[in-house]
Amino acid sequence: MTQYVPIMRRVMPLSVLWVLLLVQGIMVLPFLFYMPLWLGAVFALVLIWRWRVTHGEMRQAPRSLIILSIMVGIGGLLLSGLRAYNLDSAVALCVLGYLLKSLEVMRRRDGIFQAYLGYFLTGIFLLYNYTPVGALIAIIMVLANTLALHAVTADQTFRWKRGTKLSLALMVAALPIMIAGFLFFPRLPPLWSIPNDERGAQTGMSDQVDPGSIASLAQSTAPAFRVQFDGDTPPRQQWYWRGTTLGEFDGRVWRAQFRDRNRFQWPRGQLPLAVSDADQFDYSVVLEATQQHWLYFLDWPTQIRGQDVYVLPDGRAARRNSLSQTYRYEAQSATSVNWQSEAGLQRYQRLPGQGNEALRQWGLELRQDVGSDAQYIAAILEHIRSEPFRYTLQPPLYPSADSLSDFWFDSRLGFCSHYASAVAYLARVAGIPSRLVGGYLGGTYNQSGDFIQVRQMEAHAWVEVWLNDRWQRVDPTAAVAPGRIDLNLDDWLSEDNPSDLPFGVRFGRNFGMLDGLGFWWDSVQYQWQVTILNYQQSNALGLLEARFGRINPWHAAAFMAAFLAVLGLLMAWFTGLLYLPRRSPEPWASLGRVERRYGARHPGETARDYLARLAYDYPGQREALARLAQLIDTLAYDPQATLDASRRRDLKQRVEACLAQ
Amino acid sequence: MTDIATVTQQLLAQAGKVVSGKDEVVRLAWVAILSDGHVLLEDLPGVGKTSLAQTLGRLLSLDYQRVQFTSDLLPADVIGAQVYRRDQEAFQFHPGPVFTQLLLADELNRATPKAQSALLEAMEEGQVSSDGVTHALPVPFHVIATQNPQSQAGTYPLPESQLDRFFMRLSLGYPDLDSEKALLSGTRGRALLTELKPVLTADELQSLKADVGTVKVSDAVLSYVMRLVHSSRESGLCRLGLSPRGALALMTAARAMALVEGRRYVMPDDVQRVFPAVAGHRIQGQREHDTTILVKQLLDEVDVIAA
Repeated sequence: MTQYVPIMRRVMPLSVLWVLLLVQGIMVLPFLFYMPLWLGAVFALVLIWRWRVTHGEMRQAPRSLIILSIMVGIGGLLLSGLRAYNLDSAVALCVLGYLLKSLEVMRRRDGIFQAYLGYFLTGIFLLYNYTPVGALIAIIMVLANTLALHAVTADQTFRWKRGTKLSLALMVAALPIMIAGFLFFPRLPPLWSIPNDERGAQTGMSDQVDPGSIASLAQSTAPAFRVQFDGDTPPRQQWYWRGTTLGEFDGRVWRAQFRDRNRFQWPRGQLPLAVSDADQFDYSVVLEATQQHWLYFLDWPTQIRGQDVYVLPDGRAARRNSLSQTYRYEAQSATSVNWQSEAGLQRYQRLPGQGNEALRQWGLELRQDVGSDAQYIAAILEHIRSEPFRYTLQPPLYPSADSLSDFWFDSRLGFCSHYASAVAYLARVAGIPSRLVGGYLGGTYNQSGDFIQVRQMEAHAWVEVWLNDRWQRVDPTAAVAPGRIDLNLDDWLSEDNPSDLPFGVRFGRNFGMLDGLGFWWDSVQYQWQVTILNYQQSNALGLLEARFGRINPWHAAAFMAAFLAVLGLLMAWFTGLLYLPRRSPEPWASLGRVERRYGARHPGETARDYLARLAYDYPGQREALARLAQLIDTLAYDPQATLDASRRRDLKQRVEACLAQ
Repeated sequence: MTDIATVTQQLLAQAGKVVSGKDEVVRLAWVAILSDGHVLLEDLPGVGKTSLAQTLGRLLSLDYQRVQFTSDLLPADVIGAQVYRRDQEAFQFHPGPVFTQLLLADELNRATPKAQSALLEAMEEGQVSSDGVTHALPVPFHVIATQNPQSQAGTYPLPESQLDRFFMRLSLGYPDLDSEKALLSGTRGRALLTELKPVLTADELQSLKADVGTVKVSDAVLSYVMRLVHSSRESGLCRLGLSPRGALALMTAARAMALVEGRRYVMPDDVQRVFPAVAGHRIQGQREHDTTILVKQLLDEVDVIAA
């Protein structure tokens, strides 16, 4: 059955306008989570306007009003604080334009434009939300836009059932292309990009820790990363996830060293730790976007496999670019390692010149009472255990220059960073090299997905001291709150310290079914991140390279271009076969030259009418024009006439006769 | 095999003697008859509706009857009635004026719907029923109905469904200056009618009708017709678009027009030529009753060539 291209250039039927508005609503709603909310009000206004127009109570928006609303809208965006040239403001502008466009949507062309813009917005939406839910929303968006496109272009009355079926079918038909694109399309760096500076505050450990910084993390149930072990899983007590190493102390804040990355890089992925005969663990980590550089490892890491990763001498590993989306890497850790004797240990003994005098004095006295450095550390921990120190997520502020002394002697209320900070300080007082390690402690094992989920609230800080020619982990938190080590933070809090956290943080715990659901959902997200977001293209490329040799971006681009060209040709062929009347184009096409010379044909004019009109205007050509009309009519409509070579020549001659002066 | 182009020329030349200057209307009426359709002549009184009907009847050698529709006309007055024949002591069907080959139903809209529908049923079915007995109408059977659009008082306008049964709606309009001058200066008027020579017999007419179906329609033309039809339904211009019966009529008329023009294939020009007459009374605009503009708009805006 031949199908026919719709030609009506005029207004679209009302039903189609409503479909377009509905699709617009579907498109805009998810954006409202990321955009100024008043864009929703703009949509409501547009909706009301359209409603009144279609009921004949208002005129179609005049151009002046459209320009005015654009200006007001841009003003609104400026007032909403979207000033800089960055992603948010560009997208907000795009959404605004998309909304206002429907003020003037009247003809089919406008409708088609709106649908295309909708596809574009779908792509943009994925910048904001690339979770499974986001993907689902994007699929719905694509379906909706296809539906709109169908409604606009169909030459039959729009029906929901048929339209939905068609867009679903089209999407299914596009699946192979999508999969091929996913597998093989090279992940090339963008040619240009919009600065993304205002998006996503940094999360996770930073390269400086002051006493309050971890407590704020502890309020967040957001996932930090997920770990999947290849073989055995180490016992829970060893789930120390190392992030930053902080060696410089100014009396209040601990900072990371080696800021000059280029000077202190180890060769690719090789950490300065030799593996001892202890247990080794292979695992992969999927790290949420942190906007920072640090990667997290099980203590202590021995090997890292990831792109663009560099390693610093103090056991940190980082990526060259900050992590603006989830990142997956593989690593190896051992519970105990052989430390090479380290030069420059004195940097871990440096103390600030002043402040915390009382604590310093206390430490020196204690050191004199005990026999060795190890006993000194043990005595400190014993002191924490025996004195009424308390572990709390809401400690008082210690604003003075003697903050550690205040904490140690007076209030004795603190979070892990307070204890770690004090212990590391005390170690340095006695000349023992020490440093703070920032990272996470614990996590939740997800049975269904077989991975460990670590959340921001499990952020932790502990101490490493150099004893017996090796760095040893000392966790003073274990002394004040032993349960924090064995249990994850949630369980520990609910057992010992029920009122310590705001209520909302523990939501989802202690509800059996919700718990299970939560685990299931975590597992889905993990799979999503591993298989979709961090799809290792190198695997697929490896296959290709094994066959065709080294592949560089140019090869890939050429391959894609060829792929798309073939696809385009196929589609052109199919659509040409399906949608164009097979015989008429060519005779008609010969009119093109005549039209360029003498002016266009009106849509309602037949070739004969058109040429007759020309003959009236150009009497000199009457004969030639009539001859052309006669031939075109015959060729186009007489089923017995075939367009063979001689006819084609004849046609060309007659056209040229018309054009001759 | 009668050459239809020649016949058409003869027909137009002969008819021109009586209804001069109305070649296109005569041609369309001729197309309607070739398409086995009925014609609704909508025009002012005194512009030659009756003359046209009589002329056609004579030229095509068809029996001709005329019924003046009035508000007290009964169905039996049209189709006939059972009459008691004393000599045979039985009722016998007395055929009404509808039993003819060409029926002029004058001022159809003045009759009651009951009388109108009696005629319309006859048009649709090609037969009439009286007291449970079905009587076949002669073949060919054509109706030319007239109605006066101006005086609406005391009339029963035909509903849309019944308008659809007329193959074409035509209107003659006032004659142009030359024709009217000739008319006024002439003396013989209708007397000319009797001098008209039939251009073909009823049998020849039937075989020509059969020819209409053999006219070829290319995909390009078919798709143009489809676009026209869909536009009338979907563009929002019309409250009531062209029905499938209307579309079928359009196609048949275009075929007949091609035949009349001496072609064995249809061109978009044929479609455009018959479109106002075939579609004008079958579509309805959103507001105005005059569909002339609407029809013109459709013809102007629907592209003849597929994109």
